[in-house]
Formats: sequence, structure tokens, C-alpha cells
Amino acid sequence: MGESGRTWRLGISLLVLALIVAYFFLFPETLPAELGIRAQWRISSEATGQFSAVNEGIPFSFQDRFGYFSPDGRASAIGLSAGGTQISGERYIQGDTATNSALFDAEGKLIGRIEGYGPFFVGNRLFSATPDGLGLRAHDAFASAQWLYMFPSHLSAFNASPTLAIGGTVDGTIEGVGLDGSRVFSFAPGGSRLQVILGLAISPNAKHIAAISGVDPQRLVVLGQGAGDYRVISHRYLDSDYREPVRVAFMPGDRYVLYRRPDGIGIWSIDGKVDELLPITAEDFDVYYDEGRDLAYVAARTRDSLSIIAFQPPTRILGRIELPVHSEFVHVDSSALYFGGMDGLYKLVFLEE
Amino acid sequence: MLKKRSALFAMAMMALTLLGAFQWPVKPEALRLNFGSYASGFYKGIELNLPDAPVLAPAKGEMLFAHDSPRLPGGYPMPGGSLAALAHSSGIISIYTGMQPGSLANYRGVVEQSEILGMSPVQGSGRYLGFYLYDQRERRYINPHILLAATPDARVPLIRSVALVSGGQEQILERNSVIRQGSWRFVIDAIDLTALGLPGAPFDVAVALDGSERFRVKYDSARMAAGQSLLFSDNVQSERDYLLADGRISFGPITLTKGRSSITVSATDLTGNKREISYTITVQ
Repeated sequence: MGESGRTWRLGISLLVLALIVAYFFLFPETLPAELGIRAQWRISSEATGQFSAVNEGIPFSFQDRFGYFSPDGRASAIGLSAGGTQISGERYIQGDTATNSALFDAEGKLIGRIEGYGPFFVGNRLFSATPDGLGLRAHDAFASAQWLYMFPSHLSAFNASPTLAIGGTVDGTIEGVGLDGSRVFSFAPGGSRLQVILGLAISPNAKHIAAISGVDPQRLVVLGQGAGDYRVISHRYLDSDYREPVRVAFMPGDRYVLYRRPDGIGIWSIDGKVDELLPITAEDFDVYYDEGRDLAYVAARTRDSLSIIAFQPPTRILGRIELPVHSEFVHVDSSALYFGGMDGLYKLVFLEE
Repeated sequence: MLKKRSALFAMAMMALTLLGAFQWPVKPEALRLNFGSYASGFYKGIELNLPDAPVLAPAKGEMLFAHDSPRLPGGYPMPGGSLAALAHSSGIISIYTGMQPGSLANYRGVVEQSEILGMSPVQGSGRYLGFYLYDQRERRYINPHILLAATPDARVPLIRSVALVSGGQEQILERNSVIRQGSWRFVIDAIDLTALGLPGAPFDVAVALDGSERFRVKYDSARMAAGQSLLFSDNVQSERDYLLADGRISFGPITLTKGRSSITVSATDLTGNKREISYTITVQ
């Protein structure tokens, strides 16, 4: 190659370099602010006592401890129970057996006895089951049974919003139940050699439902509310081969669905246009969203780790902290992280530095 | 009529096809509740009490679902603390509840007949092994006794009482009873003791009036439709109407007119052991 050829190649290289530099100056991409974290307070697990009113109390429950605490950590109410206590913002459940339980208000006052198996809160509503795992019973604010709905076969997935309860079954059917106990829709995703529903999520406004269904192949299916029914608006075949419950969750705002994958946490926009991966190993997770700063937090749990990952949707990871693995309670509210275990409750705050 | 015959034919064909294909998950002497027993409702499987024993796959299949945490991610409680489901090529799903947490086998592929799926509940836990057979094609639970290997049974079902109920008034029948004319429902307390001596359900219950069969149900299947539990493939009954809160069963209505009549109630188990009781009533 002659002298003129080398000059030509050098010119091209310089031009490419100049274009790259110009790109970053002309179209600068906002870099995420660094996230720091600061400890705020700790409530010792020794602080046991009688319940007292806690304004704006945040409910917690782990092992034999449960109660409410205030965001400033000054007022706290911690009680002891025989086992994991089901607790909501205003009420909690205590019982001697799976079929003998009672509903209390946040001040510890008995509201009523619950006729049902394994009562629980979800979507700020009180439900119980039938002992065979086929039925769902809804209860009113005074614990009285409102209705009983029997699903076609045993439940393998469940979720509820304030207006809709959805159950997925071992025969691959999803059924939605309205506030009056009547069937709103029934849908079988199909498309797999073996039919089963492994995970269900419902958006807070009940306009979208996400499901992990089937074996060979497994699928993520997103349903949207149409004229009185739910229809598939996007779906994706998965590489996974789970035969157990699979966490799937909507990120507040109804933009993204997060779901467990063997290689991390998948992020899927409900319209199917975003298909990304958060490379975070998680056997189970919860997602929280700080709308003011457009930041999301994932509490990712494996058998021997618990991590909080802050990210800007869809997948820009901003920071990660490891929590003590024995922490059983995690809650994120805006930029505040609360977590706890047998040694107490803690509050940390995420800060932009 | 054609539909009824088709349903019966399909059931008979399935039984013939699968007869002997399903073995007991634990030994049958551990039978605590049978299909249709009253257990906070109509029991749609069988319940076995053999503490801390291996639970065997009843036939070749593939693990569909296994979970042994107390609850599903959405909070729904697992019946007896765990749930496992095995899909079989016949379209049947066998379902197990109550196996010990931590004992569930982590199969991914084919499970051969007699392979261990997990361990039954420990003694004193208050839990028992639940075993269900779900027909995915017909979307119904099948009485497992139809498909499991038959076991010797010399116990004859018991008819503990027969009553007529109308407008909140209940009249227990005696050999010779006087009844006012009108519309009545039969309320029958019929049981078949299980291997462990608990009150289970017979397989066949029938009522005849003046020698003419008026009601008959066979405890062959149950299905859920639009949130309601519907019992039996022939002469379908709503569970809410059929099974009373005290475990008795209710048929009807039937109109009784003036005169003397005979009522015959029979209860038969799957082996063919039959109990029959007749009453003479005077309707005024």
C-alpha cells in the first residue's frame, strides 16, 4: 500500500473520531445523578408493648413480630404473635389455626371473627380461601363473608386490585372476579405443551393483567381491558422452564411489567416495544416506584442474598445495596427504604449526590 | 338423553382406558375422607392419613407445578401448606396437597410411576394428604376411586336419617309417617365409613316414590363453572343446594298428594354394598 493510501485511512479515522466527539457534544445524554444512602433511624426489636395509635403507620410483619411504625421513627407499635401476621394499613389478622382467626384494627381492637381458611390481605382487601385450595371468599370491613367464588381447578397464582381479584389455575385458566363475586372474565392463554398459570399481576387500576403461563414453552402474556373483557395486547415466549410460582409485577404507572427470568429480571413494556433485562439474580422480588424522580427500586431476594437495586426505567442501574440476608421486611416509599429483621427496623434514605 | 348417554359413555371409556393405570399414592388403608365427604363442603378428592410416608406418583407423568411455601406470591394460602400437580398423558392432572414443606421433589421432566413426589404430613400436624384427579379435557374433578385400583370393602353404607323439609319445617321420617300434602324436599343423612372409620360419602344415592325412581345421583365427578360448584355428570346438582351445612344432602322438590305412598331410599358404595330403607307415609 502506498503513501496516499495510508493518508486516506488516517483521514477516515480522524473523521470518525471527530464525529464521535461531536455526537457527545451535540447530543449530550443526561447522566444519572449519583445515588448515595444515609441512615435515618433504628427501632429496636426490644421496643415491644401494647398497641397505640400510629398516624400514617406503615405496617410490617416478620416471624413473630408485627405492628406499625411512623416514617419518622418516633412513634412505634410492635406486637408479638405466634406466627407470620397478615397486616394491612388499617387492620391485622391473628389466629390460633388456619381456620380460626380474627380481625383487629390498628389499635388492637377486635373487629370480628373470620370464617375462612388462611385469611389474607391483598389490594387493601380481605380474603380467605376454602381449605381445598379451590375457592376464594371475600370479606367486608367487619370480617363478614360477602361471597364465595370457586375456581375451575386448584389455584397456582393469585392477585387482586381494589376492584378485581384474579386467580390462575393448574389447568392454565385465568378467571377474574368482580367486587360482587361474579365472574368478569375467563381466559386460557394456551400456546404451550402443558397448560398452567405460574404468575399473575394486576395493575392498580385493573386495566392490565400480566401472566406467566405454560410449560414448553413458557409465555409472558399481557392482557388489556377492552369493552367488558380482557384481551391479549402483547406476549413473549420465554426461555424459562419454571414449575413453581413465578413473580410478575407491574411497575406503577402501567408502563412496564417485571418478571423473573433465569438470567435476571425481565422488563417488558405492556405494548411489547421494550424487551430488556435487569441483570439481577432474583428468585423473588418486589418493585417500588418513586414517580417524582422517575426512579424504581427492586428488592431482589435469593436463598442467600437480599439486594435493593435502584434504576431508572427501563434498565439504567444507578446503585445497589446489599441488606442483611435475614431481613424479612422490606418496604420502599419514595426515597425511603425501610427494612428489618429480628434485631430491629431500620430506615435509610436514598440521596442524589 | 343423548348428551347423558355420551357423558356416561365417555366416563366409562375413560375408566376402562385408565383402569389400573393409577396406583394409590400411599396405601389405601390410610383413606380418611373419600370423594363427596363433607369437609367444609363437598370434598373433590380423597384425603389420606399415613404420617411421614413417601407419596408415590400414581402413574407416569410430568411435574406441572410444585410449591411448598405457606402462600402463593399473591397471598393465597396453600392448602395444607403445599401443592403439587403432575400432568399425565391421558389428560388427567393428579394434584397433591399437604405434603411436608421441604420434601417436594424438584422434578423437571418425566416422573415415572412409583417415584417419590414428597412426604406425607407428620403425625400431630393436623394435616393430611389430599389427592385429587382433575380431567383437563372435561374440566372436572373425577372421583379418584373410579381410576384407582379397587380395594376390598365389606362395609355397607348407612342411612342415618331421612327427612322431608318444607318452608323451614323439617319432619324426620319414621316407618309410618303422616305428612301434609304439598311440595317437599328430601334431606338425607347417608354415609359410607372410610377405611379409617370416618363418615365418607356413598357412591350412589337414589330415592323412589311408590316404586318409581325420582332421584338418583352418582358421585362420579364435580366441576366449577362461573364460580359455582356443580356436582355429578348426570343429574347435575348445585353444591350450594345439594349439600347442607351439617353434611346432609338435599333433593327436590317433590309434590306429595293425598293418599298412602311408599318411599325407598338407597345408598350404594363403589364396591356394590347397598343399604336400602323404605317408609310408608300417609299424605293428608
